[in-house]
Amino acid sequence: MKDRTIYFYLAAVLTVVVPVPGRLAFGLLMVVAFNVQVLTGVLVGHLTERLHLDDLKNVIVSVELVAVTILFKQLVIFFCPVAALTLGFSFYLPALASAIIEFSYKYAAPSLAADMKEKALRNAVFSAVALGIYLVRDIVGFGTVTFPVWRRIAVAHVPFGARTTAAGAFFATIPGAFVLVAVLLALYLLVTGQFAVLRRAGGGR
Amino acid sequence: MPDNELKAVCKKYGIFFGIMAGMTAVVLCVSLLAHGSWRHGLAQTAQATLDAYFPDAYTVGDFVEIRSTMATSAAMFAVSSRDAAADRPVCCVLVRIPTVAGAEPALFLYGQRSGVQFVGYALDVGKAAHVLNRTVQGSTIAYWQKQIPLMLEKAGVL
Repeated sequence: MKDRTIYFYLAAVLTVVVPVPGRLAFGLLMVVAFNVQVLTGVLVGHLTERLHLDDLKNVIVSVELVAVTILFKQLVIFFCPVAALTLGFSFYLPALASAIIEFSYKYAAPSLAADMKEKALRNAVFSAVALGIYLVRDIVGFGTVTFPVWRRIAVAHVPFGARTTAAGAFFATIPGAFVLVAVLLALYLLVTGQFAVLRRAGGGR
Repeated sequence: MPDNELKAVCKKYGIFFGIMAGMTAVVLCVSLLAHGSWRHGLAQTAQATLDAYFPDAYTVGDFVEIRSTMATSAAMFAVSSRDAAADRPVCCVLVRIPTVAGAEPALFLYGQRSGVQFVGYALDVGKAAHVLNRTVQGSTIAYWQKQIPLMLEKAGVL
C-alpha cells in the first residue's frame, strides 16, 4: 500500500463506518453497497468507452452510481426493511466519498479484467478493515453480534458482554468510532514507520 | 452538420438516453416491488418490539400512510389493545431517531389518554442501552411528542 493510499481508505472509512450505527449487520450492508457501487462504476465506465461515449462518461457513471444506490436500497427494503429504515440516506454517503470517485472514475489498468481485479483487491482490503471496525464496535460497544436475516436483524449477545456494565459502550457511540479509527491510523503509521526505519537500516549496510 | 456527423451524434445520445431510461425503468420496477415489503416487514418489527416491551398487550394493524417527508424515515400502524380496560391506543410509529450512536430505529405509541409514549428501540442495543436511553430522553422525546400528533392529523387519523 502506497503511503498516500491510506488517506483514500481513511476518507472511505469516515464515510462508510463512522456515521452508521456500529453494528455488524449494518456494516455488512454498507460494505456490500460500497463494493457494488465501485464495481458497477468500473463496469459502466469501461462500457461507456466501448460505446465511444467518452465525453459523457462522468455523467453516465454519476447517474449510474445514484441509480445503483437506489436499487440497492430497494433490495434492502425487500430483504430487511428495518435495516433500510435505520440506514436511510447513509447508503448514499459512499457515492460522495473520494474513494468511490478515485475507484470509479480513474482506471488502474487499461483492460476491464485487470482494472476490476485491481479495484476488487483494494475493495477487499477496505472491506476487511471496515468490517473489523464494525465487529469491534458491535462486540465491545453493544455486547452483541448482529446479522441481517430475512425481514429482521438477528442479535446474539456475547457471553462476556454483561448488560450490567456499560464498560466499552463508548465504542458504540460516534465519538468512539472516531477514536477507534484514529487509533488504527496511529497504529498503521507506527508500524509502517518502523518498517521504513528497518528498510533504511538494511539498505545502509 | 454533415449527415454522418449528425447520425453519430444521434446514435451517441440515443445510447445515452437509452441507458438512462433503462436505469429508471429498473429502479421503478424494484421500488414498486419493495413497497409491500416495507409495510409488512416494518409491521412485523413493530409487533415484535411491542411484544418485547408489553408482552401480549397490543396487536399491530393496518399501515397508515404518512403524508409528509417523514415517510422515508418512519412507518405508522394502527394498534389495538388486547386489554379492554387499558388506554385505547391509536397507533404506533416506528421511526429512525438520532442518538449518540448514530441512527437507531425506535418505537413510539400514541394513546388517546396517554399521548405519545416512547416504547423503546426496535433493535436490541445490548449494554449500550444505558448510554442511549440517557441521551435519547428529553429533547428527542419532546420532539416526537409534538411531531406524531401532527403526522396523525395529516394522515386523517385524528
